[in-house]
Amino acid sequence: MLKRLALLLLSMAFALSGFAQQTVTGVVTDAQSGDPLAGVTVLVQGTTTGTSTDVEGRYEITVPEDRDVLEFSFVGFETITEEIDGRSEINITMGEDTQQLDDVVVTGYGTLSRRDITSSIGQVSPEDLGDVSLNTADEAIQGRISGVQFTSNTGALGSSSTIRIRGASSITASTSPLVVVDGIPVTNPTTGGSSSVGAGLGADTGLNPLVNLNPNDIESYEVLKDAAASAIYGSRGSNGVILITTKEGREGAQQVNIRSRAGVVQETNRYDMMNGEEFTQIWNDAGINFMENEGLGELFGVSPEQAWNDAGIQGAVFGTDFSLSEDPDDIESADWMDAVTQNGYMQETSASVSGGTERTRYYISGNYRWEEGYVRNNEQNRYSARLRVDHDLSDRVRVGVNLNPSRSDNFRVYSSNAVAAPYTFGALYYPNVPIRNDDGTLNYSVAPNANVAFSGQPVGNVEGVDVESNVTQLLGSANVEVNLTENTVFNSDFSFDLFQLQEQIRQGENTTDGSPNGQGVSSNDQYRNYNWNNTVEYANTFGDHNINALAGISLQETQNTSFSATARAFPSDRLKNISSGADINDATGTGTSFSFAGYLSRINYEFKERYQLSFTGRVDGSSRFSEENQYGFFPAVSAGWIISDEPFFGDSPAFDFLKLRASVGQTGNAEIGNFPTRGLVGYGTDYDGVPGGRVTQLENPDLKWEKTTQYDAALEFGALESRLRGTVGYYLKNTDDLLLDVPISRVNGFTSLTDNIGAVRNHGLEFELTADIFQGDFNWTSAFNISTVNNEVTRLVEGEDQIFGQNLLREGEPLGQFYLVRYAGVNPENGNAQWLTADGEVTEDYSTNDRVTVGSPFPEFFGGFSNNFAYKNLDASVFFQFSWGNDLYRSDGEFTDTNLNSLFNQSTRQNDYWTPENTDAANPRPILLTDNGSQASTRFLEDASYLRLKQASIGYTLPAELSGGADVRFFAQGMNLLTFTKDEFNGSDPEAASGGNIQSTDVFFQLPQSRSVMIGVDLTF
Amino acid sequence: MKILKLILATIVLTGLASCDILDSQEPQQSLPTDEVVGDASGIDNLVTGMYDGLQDPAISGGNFNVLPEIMADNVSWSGSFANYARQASKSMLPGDGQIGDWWAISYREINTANVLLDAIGEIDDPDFTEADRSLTEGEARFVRGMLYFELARVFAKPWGFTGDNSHNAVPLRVDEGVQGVEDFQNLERDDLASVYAQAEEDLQEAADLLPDEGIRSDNRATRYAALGYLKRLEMTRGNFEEAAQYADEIISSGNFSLTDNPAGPFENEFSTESIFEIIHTSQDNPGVNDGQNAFYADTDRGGRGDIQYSANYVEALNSTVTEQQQSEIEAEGYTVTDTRENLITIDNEDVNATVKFPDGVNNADNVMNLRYAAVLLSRAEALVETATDINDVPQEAYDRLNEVRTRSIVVTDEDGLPQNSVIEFEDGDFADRQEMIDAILLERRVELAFEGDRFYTLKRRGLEIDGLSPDDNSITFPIPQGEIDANPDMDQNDGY
Repeated sequence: MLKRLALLLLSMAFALSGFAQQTVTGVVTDAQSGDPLAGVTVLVQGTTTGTSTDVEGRYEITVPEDRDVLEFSFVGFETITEEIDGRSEINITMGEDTQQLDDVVVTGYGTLSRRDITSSIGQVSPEDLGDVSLNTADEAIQGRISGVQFTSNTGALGSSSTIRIRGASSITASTSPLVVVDGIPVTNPTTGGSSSVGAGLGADTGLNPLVNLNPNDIESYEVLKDAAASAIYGSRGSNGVILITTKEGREGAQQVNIRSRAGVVQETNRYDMMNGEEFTQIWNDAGINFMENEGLGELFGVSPEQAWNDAGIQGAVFGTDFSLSEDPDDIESADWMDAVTQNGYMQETSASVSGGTERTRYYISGNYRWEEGYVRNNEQNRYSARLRVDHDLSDRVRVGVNLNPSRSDNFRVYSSNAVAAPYTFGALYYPNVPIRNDDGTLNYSVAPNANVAFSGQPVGNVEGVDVESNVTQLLGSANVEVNLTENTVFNSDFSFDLFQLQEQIRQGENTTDGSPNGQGVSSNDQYRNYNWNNTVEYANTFGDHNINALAGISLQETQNTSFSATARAFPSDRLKNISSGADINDATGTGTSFSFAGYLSRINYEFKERYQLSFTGRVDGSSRFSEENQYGFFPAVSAGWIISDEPFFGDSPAFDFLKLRASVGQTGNAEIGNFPTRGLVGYGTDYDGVPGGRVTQLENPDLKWEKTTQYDAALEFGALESRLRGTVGYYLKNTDDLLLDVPISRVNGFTSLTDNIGAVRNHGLEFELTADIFQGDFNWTSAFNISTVNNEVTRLVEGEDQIFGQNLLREGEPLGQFYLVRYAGVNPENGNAQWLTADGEVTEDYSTNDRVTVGSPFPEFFGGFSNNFAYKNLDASVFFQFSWGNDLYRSDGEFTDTNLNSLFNQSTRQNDYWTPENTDAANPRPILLTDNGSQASTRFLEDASYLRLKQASIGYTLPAELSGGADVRFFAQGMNLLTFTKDEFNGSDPEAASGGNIQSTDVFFQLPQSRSVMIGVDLTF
Repeated sequence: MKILKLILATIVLTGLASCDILDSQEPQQSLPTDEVVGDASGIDNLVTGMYDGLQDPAISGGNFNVLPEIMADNVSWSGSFANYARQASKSMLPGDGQIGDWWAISYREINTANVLLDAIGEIDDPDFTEADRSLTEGEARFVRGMLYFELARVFAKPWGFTGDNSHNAVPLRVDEGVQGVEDFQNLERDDLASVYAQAEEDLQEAADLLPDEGIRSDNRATRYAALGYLKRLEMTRGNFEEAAQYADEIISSGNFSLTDNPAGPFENEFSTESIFEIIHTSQDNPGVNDGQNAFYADTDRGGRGDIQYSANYVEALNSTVTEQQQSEIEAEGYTVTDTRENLITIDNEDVNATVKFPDGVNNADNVMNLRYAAVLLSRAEALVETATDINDVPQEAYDRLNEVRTRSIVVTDEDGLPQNSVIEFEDGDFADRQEMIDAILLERRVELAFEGDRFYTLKRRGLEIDGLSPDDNSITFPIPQGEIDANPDMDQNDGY
């Protein structure tokens, strides 16, 4: 530890330089309007000394004698550097930035101007998004940044998302990037590949941990993609880092912004299921075929058809009569999908006030958002407030607080893997049963069908189930910043994230899970996350040399406690709390914790403002690992060369900016649970009221971080007076010591073991291009990004395959490669499903020995394309997102396209099934309760390529003479308006993901994304 | 410079805090394995945990009953789970979850037994007495012997499939418990003779070490549970001499008796008939999609009602009184009822369910693993098998069979007085031993219906199961796909 302290002290020793000073004053004005500009940052170049302009655009700054350059920067304006040259008054006019190369970019423990960055950092600012009303804040980066794949797992409100930056570089540990909001790594409980909290109501349907964050408060999103950028986050950087920075006040007149909107919400797609008549038809045919298949007609000396229609034989075979009357008068028909869905609505209002005096700046905001989803009983209310105050105690000391209390009340739905979830149940329930009785009450009888698959019915599960999840969160930080010298700033920032999720689940007595006397679950999850960052930053210029150095210590401790209890046998559905239940059980109370201690440093060096070099290093320690492997070192180096500033480049007619950058570095991944190295006996395995324990975890002291070595190179350019801007880049990510849940021979008493085995490589090209196609009265800016990702498992345990359901881990194949028996259609002779053997022979015998690698879990390319138009007071935007060449395994096909091996309703595709009269049918001969084509196979593997009109908007800004000086804009906006997929795609949504790392492409009734249309007004004065 | 000192102090403080926060995190629901196995109360906790493991619905908490039952003829499967439907139609797939769990959970508890057997050899804790040591060994041996038997009898072809029973069964792991990564092994399958021999050795040790009581105060395994399993093992191996002895030891201990009516063992937990019973309380809820009760209890009782008794079973139930007995009853003007019909639903015509396990809400019915009626019937069967011909069959064989019959089949005269002797079998009722065996097997079928016995009885007697020979490939479970995928030394069964 002493060594690390010495490092810090060393960097502070730079601070011993002189204090001779001069004072410069002046006014900054807008070049276009001539109005004074408030809030412009004025910085003494090569130092951390700075101030900002007041309401009248005035500034006053004290400049050390050995300094001669001032830097004026302001968002949206071109940064200006001005030599002082002995002047004491310098007035500046600033022009709007067209190059955007001098935008300030947040880099993690600091900021840099875009032109100085030598690593790969993607940026999204709210202006890029237009007027999107986001359900969760992380959706903003979707499709906007090359190399970033963002998937909302389901269309349920507040659902968690799967974010992958530059492919997937982990199998067992999380593949989710670290999300840092204003310097706080957010509470990030990870299940499989995505972050979520709360009860998983079916696979991967937990709440998004960012559910409470108000997107309107966000100033910018930065995505740290390469190791040079993310190494400052050390052991947690290998999946990339998303930095979310919230707005702050600026010195100047108070500004009020009010934004309000409302709209309607629908699902983008819906499964087309059989009606009562169709179901009756296939059911009876499948039954007759069952009789024939089992030789039962023969046994009883009648034809299969007679056997099926004979109540006596039915009784002998099934114990009850399975056959259905085909008399049209007897057949009821119900559209259950329609019955569990609705037109959803949403409205959102947010307001903010910001401003500041010479010494104090503030930002205050409030937000209310309400949405009722397209699945009945799915609702979300969010209330949040933010207060941010920064105050200069003196010229050298600044303090600030940032408080963000929030609350959301969510009514969630079981959304996928629970068959009793309304949407899933709606698809699978008998269509030949009326929804309601004549008296309007719900019909719980399955008649005319003989068998109950589950108690309850879909609408009963909507009306009788409440899942109320209340998230109360307080994010806060206090910081102090001290200018130790003109070159050295010390910053101490203490922040905390208190996150509480309280959940009440109540299932009524007629619901699937609540039958017969009702069930309730009450749970409470609490996360306390403390973070303390101390950094010292030094900046100086020596002639042609610019140096910026940073050193610091970052501490984090996160504690989690949770409690849950279940009650059954309620006297009445009106009683909601578990204490009303007669039988309270399944009570659990658990706690866990982890901590990180990081020692970080970064040095940026620039020569002649065109040769740039950056070193980053972090020593990271974590409580998650055993003593031998507790610390890891994560270094990175990057370099940039601004070619266009070379004298030899001259004034190129084509290019006005050209920069080459490259980096290499190492990062880690430590998201593998809190105590994975220890041999543990877990308690809670009681017998007859006596407490007991079981060996639940094997001792594995050698377990260590996953390490990713990443190489990155890119060419950035600006052409045609910077109307064309872009980046072409290549990355290569090698991840080693891969943490893997290795399936092991069960004879050992365990099914799997986490170990550092294996390696995976991701590499790909990234291309971003922005073009100002028209400028002037008519403005058209177009931005396009496209990325490829090639993923390959390069090493596994002794080269052995590992199989996870339909997905495979095999050396030389992508992570989660599909591994399936190939379906070869229907044998026209007999209606049997046919398969290909491993050797490619057609067979009717299904065998998992015939599985082969087939399809692709990763897209060949993906990206986004946005267009913003403005003409006088009118503006418009369209944003497309696309993905090409990736397959999804539609597990729900094993339920909806089974030729009735089960009791579930079938998709209308199944109407075309084999009969002796219809021998070229698309689907095999249905045989009741018998597999004929429903087994896992390529029959359910579908190309999920898509092009989606993710967002479109139009807006009209009132002319100033009508609005009385205020900025008033009316707009209409739509989300997910159009989706184009391949014909073969039968899933509900091509964007669906199930969240697990290896099996994330294996989806089951994922709720499709919602389509929304809304109108609103935006008011600023 | 004051501010500098403050900052220096801050930095030193952060540095100190950083060491502390890394070392201060400890698991809160778990204890280190090496400490637990070295401590008397820790070992006690692991034994309890092992019994908790037996509650698992994948094994003795449910599927040891459910899976064999749905493969035989007492019930039909009408549920929506395709994997269970495949089990019922004998078209199992290696990937079917319930088969993988039977295997994996059994081995999990075998490992617990191995860890315990290691620990009692090494423990150095004065609180751990010699009595603790022998009891712990008895518990561990019982569980290991029981589970090897339960594994081999589904994953191997029947006893006698090869002359010397050298056909593949399951791998035997008995040497050391797995506590850490370095203990892993990939093992090949051992033959059936060796696996049954290991089960026999374990169960015999257990019988010697476990308490010689009919029922323990903590309701755990006794000497008689071990003897009951040994009896089962010998019936399976066709060693009727030994089976008869084990049954006799249980019967003559005087610890057990039949309850007054056939519902007794299911209405009252740990009845006089209970030899080994797995406890289930509402705290042990296996969930709505798993376990004995979820599948057997009908939806009105909170279950899924996936298992329905078959017409074939009702036929068997209606034929426990022979035609000859029936005509005698009619001639005398008596009335007869087999009260076992009360154990199937007659209150709901839509549902054909058993009410042996009616609690589908909390799934808090115990699982009856071994009960006295089965021992009586086994004793009768073994006595007939060891007799040279029907005349050589001792009276006790008739008595044991009649004991079970007369408890359930109620014959009354016009005055309501019992006339049970009418339905008792006696010397001369059967032409040959086979006839008597058939009568015992029918009684066994009806008495032990829905308790997972029928399949094994058919299998060990070489009788057809749904028209298939017990030797048929589809009768033997496939080795789970997960095991095949993870262990290159594992052979799959024929037909998969």
